Amino acid sequence: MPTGVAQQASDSQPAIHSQPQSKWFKAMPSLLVIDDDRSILAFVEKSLAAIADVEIAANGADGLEKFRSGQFDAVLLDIQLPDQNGLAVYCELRELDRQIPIIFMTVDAASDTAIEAMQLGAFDYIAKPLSSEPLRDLVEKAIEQRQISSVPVAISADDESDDHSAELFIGRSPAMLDVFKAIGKVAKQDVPILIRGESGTGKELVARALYQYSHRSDEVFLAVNCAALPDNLLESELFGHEKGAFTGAESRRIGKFEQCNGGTLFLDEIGDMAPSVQAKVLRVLQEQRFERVGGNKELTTDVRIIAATNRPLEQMVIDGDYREDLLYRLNGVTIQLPPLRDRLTDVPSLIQFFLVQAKREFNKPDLEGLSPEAVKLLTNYRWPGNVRQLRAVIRRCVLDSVMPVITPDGLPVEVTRSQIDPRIGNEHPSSDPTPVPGAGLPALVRRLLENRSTNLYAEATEYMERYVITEVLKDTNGNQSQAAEILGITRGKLRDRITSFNIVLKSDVTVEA
Amino acid sequence: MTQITQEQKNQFSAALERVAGDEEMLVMLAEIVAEDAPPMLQKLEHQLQAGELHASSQTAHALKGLLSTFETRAPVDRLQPLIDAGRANESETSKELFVSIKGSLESLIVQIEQLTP
Repeated sequence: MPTGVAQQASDSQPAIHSQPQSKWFKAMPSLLVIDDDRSILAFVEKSLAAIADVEIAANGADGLEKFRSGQFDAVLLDIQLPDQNGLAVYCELRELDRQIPIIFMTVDAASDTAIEAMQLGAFDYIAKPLSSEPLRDLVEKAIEQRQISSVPVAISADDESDDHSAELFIGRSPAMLDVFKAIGKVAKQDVPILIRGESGTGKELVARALYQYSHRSDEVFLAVNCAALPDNLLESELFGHEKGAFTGAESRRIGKFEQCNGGTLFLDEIGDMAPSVQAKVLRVLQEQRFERVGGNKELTTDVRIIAATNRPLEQMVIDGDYREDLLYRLNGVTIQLPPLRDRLTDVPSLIQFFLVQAKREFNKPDLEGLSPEAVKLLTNYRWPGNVRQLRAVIRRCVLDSVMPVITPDGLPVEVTRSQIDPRIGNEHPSSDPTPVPGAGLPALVRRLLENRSTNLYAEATEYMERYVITEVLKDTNGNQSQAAEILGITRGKLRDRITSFNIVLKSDVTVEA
Repeated sequence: MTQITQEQKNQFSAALERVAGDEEMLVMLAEIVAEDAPPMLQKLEHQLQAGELHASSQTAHALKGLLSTFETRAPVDRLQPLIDAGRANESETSKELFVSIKGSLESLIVQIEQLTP
């Protein structure tokens, strides 16, 4: 081993993987399809060959036998089978594995069986005739769901873990030890939990750890990103809707609160919720009751809510953008994740962990580690994108490396520059020097590519977002209510973006970005 | 390399879209339909003649699923009333419905078969 290698990729196991892998290092995910229609089996096999190993069964008995003897990440199940009802097969599958995501296939999406299956916790249903792309999207979501709920989150203050299939929660800084203690203390208490922390600090990992160490660990875990859906769709996603509730509601849809009965629902970006949805979520938290959109029937559910946000909810309450009662309901127990810059002593352990991961995933058996200079630079950097950014940087370095040791030359420019100017990493990453608004995107993307950025998507998206918001605000003469309506986002979200992008609304209503 | 004509592509444009433009896959599915649909249609007719309405309903449902990759409108959508009539144990209605769609179903199956080499 060369001298001066400070951080070694110490995994000694063979790292030969010819198949595509998920980030959890499992070989190709596997899918079981149960349907008596040969054309469906052939369709699914061919459509999903790139993302999963597909096992087929032509009837319920055969499907159950294969399920018992194999290890699957998801199941596609026909509702009407020749030997038994698909719902009966579903119940047996769930008896064998409570967490397996099962997608029903049905010619009649509005059938009572499909709705009943969703109420019993099926992952989703898809209407026949199948189409390749929606099918692939849905199965990918199911596989991701499976991995989210079943890949163990190991909490460790050590650098090493024998379990390479686990996602390790690393840290021995006092701040992280407090987080671990809090997880241990509240995981088994059936109370709502609010996880707070900057983007990239690992809020989802905390949610998964809470679920896995809870009494509900054998039940369903579902995650919803509240910022990813427009308000009306979010309401329908969470609470479901009745047929005809709104244009396009062609059949009854079961929402996550109903689907997740008995399980755990992770509401990410809980600060990005319209007041109408906030009111309904509050009611579920208080009474575990709700109605589907467009429905009168009161439904009850038993769901544990874990919420996460990086938004200043207290300030949003003062601004009138967030319900105070909801905030108090949510933050009875709060877990605060520290930004990585506040626990830089954990960086070497994290480097070690991500290095071993990436070495195995990218099949780089000759990679020995990082030079001391490279480690020093990584440890001095302020990491505005937190652990997510560190992971991306290490993966990129490993992917690009042709030598056994990664030196400072192999690190992204933003990290090496931080040695010259230690303030770098705190500054806003994509301040736009271009005089014509919006025109600098191609140049920005080119520069980020040349600098081997590991945060290109976020930076480019932020640039675009800032441009769009600025233009709309100009158009509305700075009227934020109108701008929010045009943009299709909440006023709270708009205000948050105005603050974080340093958009200045001057008195003559010209807008400076 | 498949031999699908432009006319066939137009006729089965929705099916092609469902397989994301993969003509080989469409031909493979057509081969399955060409093998499975005719005996299924025959079975359906026998079941109706024998008054096995529950079974006929299941067969009609399976046939609808099989053909719907290629066509969702008539005559495939006309299998639904037949399925419903079978479930409702309406023997005469089932038979009448079958007679009214049998010819067009056969034609569709032939057109699908013509996609195969």
